Amino acid sequence: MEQIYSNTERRDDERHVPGEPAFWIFIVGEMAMFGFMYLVFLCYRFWTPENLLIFEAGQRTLSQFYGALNTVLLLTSSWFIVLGLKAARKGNASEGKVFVKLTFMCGLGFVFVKVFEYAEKIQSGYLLNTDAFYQIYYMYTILHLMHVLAGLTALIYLIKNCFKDDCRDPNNVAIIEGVASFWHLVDLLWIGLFTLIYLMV
Amino acid sequence: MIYQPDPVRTYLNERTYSYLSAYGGYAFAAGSFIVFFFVGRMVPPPDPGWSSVELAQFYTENQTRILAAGVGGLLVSWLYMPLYSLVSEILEKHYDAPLAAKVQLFGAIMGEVFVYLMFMFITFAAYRPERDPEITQMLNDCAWFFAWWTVSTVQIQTVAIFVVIIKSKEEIFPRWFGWFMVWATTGACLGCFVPLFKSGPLAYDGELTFWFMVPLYGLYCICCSAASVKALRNIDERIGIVDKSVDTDFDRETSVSN
Repeated sequence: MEQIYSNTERRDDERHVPGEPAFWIFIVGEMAMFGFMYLVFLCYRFWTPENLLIFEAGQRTLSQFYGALNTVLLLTSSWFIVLGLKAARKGNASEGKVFVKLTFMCGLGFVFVKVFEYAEKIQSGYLLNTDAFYQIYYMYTILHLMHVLAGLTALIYLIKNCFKDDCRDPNNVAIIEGVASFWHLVDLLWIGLFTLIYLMV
Repeated sequence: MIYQPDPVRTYLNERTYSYLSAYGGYAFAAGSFIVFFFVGRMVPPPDPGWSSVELAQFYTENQTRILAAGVGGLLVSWLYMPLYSLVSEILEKHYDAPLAAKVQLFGAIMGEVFVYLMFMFITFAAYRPERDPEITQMLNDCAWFFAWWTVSTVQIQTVAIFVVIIKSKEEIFPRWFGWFMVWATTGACLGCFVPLFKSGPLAYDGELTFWFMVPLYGLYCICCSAASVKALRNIDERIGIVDKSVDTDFDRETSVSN
C-alpha cells in the first residue's frame, strides 16, 4: 500500500507536505471558501453608498482592542504549536505536551474574548438582524469560532494521545503536523477577518 | 447447514449494477443542472423579499416551464439513491462499518425525500398560481426550505463517510474523498442559517448560500461518483478482476501462438 503518512527519518533539509497529503484538500477548500466569503464582504460593503454607510457605522461599533487581543492570542498559539511539533520531532514528549497545552490555553482565551464581545454587542442591542453588516459579522465570526472549537478538540486529542514515549513515530508526527496545519489555518483565517471587519474602517 | 453468502460472489452478481449506481451521481448532477438552469430557469430562485403578489405573478408568467422543471426534477431525483446505497454497501462490506453505513444511508434517504419535496412544492405552487397569492408564497417558501434542509442530511452522510475513511488504513475509497467530505460538512454549515434571513448573502438566494452551496452540492455528487468508481476498481483489483483493456503477458503469448 502506498505510504500515507510522512516520514520523520528524512533529512532535515528535505521538503515535504506536512501531515497527510490528502488532508490538504480540506485546507485548500477552507481557504477557498473563506476567500469567497471575504470577496462577498467586500462586494456588499462597496456595492452601494447606502451599504458603505451601514458597514462603516457597524464597523465603528466594534472594539479593535478585542480584535487585536484575539489576533495576538492566535499568533502566540501558532508559535506554541510549532514549538510543540519541534519537540515531538526530537522525541521530547513532555516538553511538546506543555507547548500544546499552552496553545490550547491561548485558543480557550480566544473563545472567552469572543463570547465576552458577543455578550457586549447583544447587550448594546446589536443583533443578527440589526443590519447587513451585523448579519455578516455574526455569521463570519461564528463560523470561524466553530473552526476554533474544532481545533481545540483536536488539541485535546493531541494532548491525550500523541505525546507519549514513542512520539517520534512517523504516523504520530504526521497527526501533530496535520493539527498544527489546521491551527495555522484558523489563525490565517482570523487575520483575514480581523483586517476586513475590524481594521478596514 | 446455515447458508452463508459468499461476499465475492455477491459482489460479482451485482458488479454491473454497482458501476451503474456509481455513475448515478454524475447523472443526478447533470440532470438537476439541466432541469434548474435550462428547463425551469429558476436560477437565481425567486427573491425571498418579494411580496406575495409579485411571487404569484412570477409563477403565473413562468407556469409552463416551472411545471416542466417539476416533472424533470421528479425524473432525475431517483438517480441519487443507487449511488448512496452503493456507498453504504462499500462502508459495510469492505470497511466493516455497518453502523456508519446505516447512518449514511439514513441521511441519503432523508436527503432524497427533501429533494422530492422541493420539486413537489415548486410544482404545487405553479399548478394553480391564480389562487390566493399568500398560499403560493407559502408553497414557494416550503420548496426552498426543503431544498436547504438537505444540508443537515448531507452533513450526516459526510461525517459518517469521513470517520470511516480516515480511521481505516484500508484504501478502498481514496483518502482525499474523506477529507473532501469534512470540507463539504464545513461548507454546508453556511446553509444552516438560511431561515434567519430574507435578504443579504445568507438568504436562500444569497451569494453564500445559493451561489456557493449549489455548486458545492454539485461537486459533492460528482466527487461521490468519482470516488465510488475508484472504490469499485480497487475492489476489482483485490478480488483479481483484471481490466480487459490491459494487455497481459498471457494474452500476448496466446496471440503469438495463434
